[in-house]
Amino acid sequence: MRALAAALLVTVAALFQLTQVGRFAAAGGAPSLVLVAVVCLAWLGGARAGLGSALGSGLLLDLGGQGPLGVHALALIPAAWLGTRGARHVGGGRLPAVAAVAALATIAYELVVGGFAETLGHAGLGLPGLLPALAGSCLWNALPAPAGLLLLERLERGLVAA
Amino acid sequence: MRRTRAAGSGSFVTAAALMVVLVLVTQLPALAAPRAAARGTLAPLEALATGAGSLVAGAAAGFTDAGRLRSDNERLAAENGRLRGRLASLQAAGQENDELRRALDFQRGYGQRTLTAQVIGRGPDAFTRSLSIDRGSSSGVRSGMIVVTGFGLVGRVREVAPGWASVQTVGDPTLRVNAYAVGSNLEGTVSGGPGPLEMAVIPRPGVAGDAGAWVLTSGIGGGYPRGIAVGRIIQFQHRDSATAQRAELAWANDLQAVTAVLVLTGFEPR
Repeated sequence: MRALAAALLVTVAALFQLTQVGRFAAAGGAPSLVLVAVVCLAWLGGARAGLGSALGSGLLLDLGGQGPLGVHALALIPAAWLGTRGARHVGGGRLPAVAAVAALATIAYELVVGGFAETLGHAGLGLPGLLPALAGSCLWNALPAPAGLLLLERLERGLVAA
Repeated sequence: MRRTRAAGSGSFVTAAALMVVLVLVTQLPALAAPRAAARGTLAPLEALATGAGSLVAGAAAGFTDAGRLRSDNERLAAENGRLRGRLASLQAAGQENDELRRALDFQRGYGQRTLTAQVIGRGPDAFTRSLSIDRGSSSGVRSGMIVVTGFGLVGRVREVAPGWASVQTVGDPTLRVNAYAVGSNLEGTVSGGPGPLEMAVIPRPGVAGDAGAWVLTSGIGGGYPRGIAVGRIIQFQHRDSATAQRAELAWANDLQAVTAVLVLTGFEPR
């Protein structure tokens, strides 16, 4: 039940990312709902949930993009790893910590996506396009992460109660 | 606990290695068709999500005057686009009579052999300047075809599946468009980047591009029909001693606002 809910969540997040987020991306970076969802799922559910959501949602993003498949799935693996590690090592103050993890995960994500575009010569802005928007993207993903974690915790409690 | 942590890290490393292999394998040109077919399977879901998003936006707008303002805004934006396109054509035509003939040739082709498509998806991240459309090979769309709106050039079709195609837009730095500036007739190559479009201009002594001048496709190389608006010059960096000059362009299209496009099915890029 929990796995099904997580799968549904990342699918909806990926579709929303592909169809809606691009329309509202502000100057100085773009939010990634998928990345925030992966960090929060990894934080709450551990390595298995994090890795599963990273691979599933990443492959969906790859299907909606251009070039080879697997780049976004690969780029989301550090987000899952950081989310899992963050949950293990942070005691109190988990809301600021999950925001920091989301920001770190954003850096890793963008380095992987931009690096692959640059190295393999695929469509995309590549690393030179990364730097100007990196701080903005980190902020975009760090800000909703605590709220996302609280929301998922509430959903999880609801699922357990049901 | 230590073993669990090691096992956890191991699964991350294994998954990462598998994804690297997947990236390297699926980038092979031989796998372009199955890759596009796999992407096409997502198109119905993307169309559904796009429709749902529009419904939600419409419903939210219905509670306030935002709906009326939104439709007014869309109407004015469309009108603005039409006028901007017309202005570009008029500027070009005013320069030389020849220009008018070419513009008319393009208009004829533009009017008769186009296919309307709905934008159902956008790039999954901040780096990808791409669009997904709901028409594909079953509608006659082929890889390399030119995609435009009433405002001007959007890009070209990159991958095609039966009911889906992905469009590499002018905002992508790997797409190059041969173009010229109306007025100065300076020629060059336009490419995208993180900021405004950039035009690498072939310098001519004593000639500089004017801010506000339209840049249109030149048709050189046969990749694009001549006369499609690409953008307007924001800034022109001119130095007589330089071997290359650059201009910054405001793209004729707003990637975030494009919801429908035209595929030029009557033009065969070389």
